[in-house]
Amino acid sequence: MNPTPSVREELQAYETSDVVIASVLEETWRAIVESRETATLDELHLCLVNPAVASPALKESKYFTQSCQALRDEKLIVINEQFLLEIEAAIRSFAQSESLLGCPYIKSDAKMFGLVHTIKSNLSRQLRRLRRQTQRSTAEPDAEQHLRHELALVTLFFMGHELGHFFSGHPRGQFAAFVDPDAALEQQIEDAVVKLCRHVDEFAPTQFDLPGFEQAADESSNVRRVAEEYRELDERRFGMQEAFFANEAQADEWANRIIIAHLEAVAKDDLIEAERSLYLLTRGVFVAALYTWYRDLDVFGRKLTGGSISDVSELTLAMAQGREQYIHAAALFGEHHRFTLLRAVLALETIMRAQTIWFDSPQSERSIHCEHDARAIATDLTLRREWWLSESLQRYFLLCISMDTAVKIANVGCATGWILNADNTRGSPQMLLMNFEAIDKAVNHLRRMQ
Amino acid sequence: MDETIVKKIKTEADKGIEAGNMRQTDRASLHFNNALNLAEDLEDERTRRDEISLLATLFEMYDFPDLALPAAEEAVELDRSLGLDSLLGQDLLTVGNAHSMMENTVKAEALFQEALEIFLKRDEWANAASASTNIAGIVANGGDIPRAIEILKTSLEYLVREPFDDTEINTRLTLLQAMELEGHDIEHTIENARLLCSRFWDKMTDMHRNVAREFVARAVERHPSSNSAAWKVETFPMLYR
Repeated sequence: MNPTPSVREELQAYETSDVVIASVLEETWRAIVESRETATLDELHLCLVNPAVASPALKESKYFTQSCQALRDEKLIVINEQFLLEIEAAIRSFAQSESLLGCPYIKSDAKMFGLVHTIKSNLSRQLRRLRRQTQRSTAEPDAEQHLRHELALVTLFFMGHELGHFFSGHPRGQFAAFVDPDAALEQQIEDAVVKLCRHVDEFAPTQFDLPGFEQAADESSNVRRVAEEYRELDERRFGMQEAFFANEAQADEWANRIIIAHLEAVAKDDLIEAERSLYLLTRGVFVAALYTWYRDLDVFGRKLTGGSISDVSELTLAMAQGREQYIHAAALFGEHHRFTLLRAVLALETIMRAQTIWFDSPQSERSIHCEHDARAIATDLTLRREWWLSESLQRYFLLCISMDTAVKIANVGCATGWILNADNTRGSPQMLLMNFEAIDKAVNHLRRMQ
Repeated sequence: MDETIVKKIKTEADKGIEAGNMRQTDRASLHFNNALNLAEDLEDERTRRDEISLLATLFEMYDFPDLALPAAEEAVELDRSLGLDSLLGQDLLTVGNAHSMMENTVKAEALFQEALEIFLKRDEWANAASASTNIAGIVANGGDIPRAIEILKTSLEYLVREPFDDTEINTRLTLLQAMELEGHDIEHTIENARLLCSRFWDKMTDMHRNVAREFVARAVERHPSSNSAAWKVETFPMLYR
């Protein structure tokens, strides 16, 4: 009788039968092995976990992850294959439109939620159809190669974060924690307030502050004094969470370094290919961030309202139902992770600053829009390079504008303790209606930007 | 087997239409997607082609170019393998429209051109006019108004050979806009507007009428007889009665 394989053996024995994922991981692995940033790494293992075939023991083990994780002791990075496939489906869906502004999903929140529902309802079917588009005889010859390259760069971005945990000496790290559909929403006010204040502290210095809520970011304010009282209730636990949070930020910086080193290495051989890679990376990171944000909003909306929400105006009404809604909303911000959209924004800005001169150019001489005719862009490489940059910048700025909902929730959540005290003093709650901005409004802002 | 699937496709498509009409876009996309999944499972290639092509047009009408594109591309592939030339041209138009809706203009123009060539070869003049007018729209958006006007005039010549009201309305409306943008000869502009309004006013949608009203008002102002109330009533009775 064969002995039952250990969970680790099961993990190592699994090989994907998906040719796209296999080729993407091969490309990502090659980039890691060849990177100057990973030269000191003497041993590294990469394993995939597929929840569809993994044993219950593996799913309950430390090896299981919803996204991507690092286990330093075992020099091991684990990626959830379903997560990668889901990101691939989102990337291929968005790639049907060549330009950001032509993309149907950013026309409304309902379109974004529709994409999430469609992918979640039948991922394999959806992927099969999307993959078929680049296999047709009429498809552009490089389309499939570029899409795989885009997914490989996004995977390198995820893995760069995990490698960052290794290099920073963290025993364990995980790329992201998404809203768990089966877990109860946050009920503890102290946990929610302390967590959301932590996010406010990260949002405010990066220009994602909220006018009228300056006290939330001011550590000497009354708002923060109440938050500090909550923190003192379990200083040890909150201190540990802050340390984890700092670890995540450190790992993100490593991801940026690894991506920048990769793009620089590509540029040494082929400058144009490096520019195309920057564009594809931006495109992919944009999709991964926006898609997972809407997926989280969808899960959160269902848990909060008992039904699905189709646009953020419904979230506005749901959040106005009571103070406790902002406590529940802490679930949108992961466990001790940085906020996904912010991470994407900060990473893209760091990477684009390193690879382009756009941010240092005088405002009068720069624009995020490319005015060239589509036919000219298709045939003229110089114009196409300009177009790649403007498309990348548009995605970066749309993510910045899309931070609105999270910034509002974090700030109000951080101030909730103080607001509740004020309610008690007043003897009745005061109406608080926070308007969240729909994606089509964000796109309108983007169109007006220079 | 296929019959049962076709019924299910209709049910899902109807649910999608109902959700779309209620502006429940997220729900509509799920039902439309279910309908497409079912259609892809049809065994008989011709039935599969017909259902998928129909769905592609429906998705386009309900502003789902992301669903219309893969569906219409599949229909095109089936048209080619089944040797359905005329339907191939029409499905190419749907693929082109889906690309156009997603601002993939170079791809859209190439597809409209391919469809146009098929229709011209087959003497299908109304379809040729439709393809040609779509090309003109892209050319106009690209800024080449004189060329767009020439293409639109060619579309009208095709429509003389085989009239088709919807395409003529679209063609003349686009021509009206293009002529204004170019500062075209006012007599020609007014004549196009007059033909559009006198022939098709009853068949035009409210949106078309509003567009026509605005453009006609501006064109009339440029005309030497603009001060003559009698001329206005005589030329555009539906607007100046």
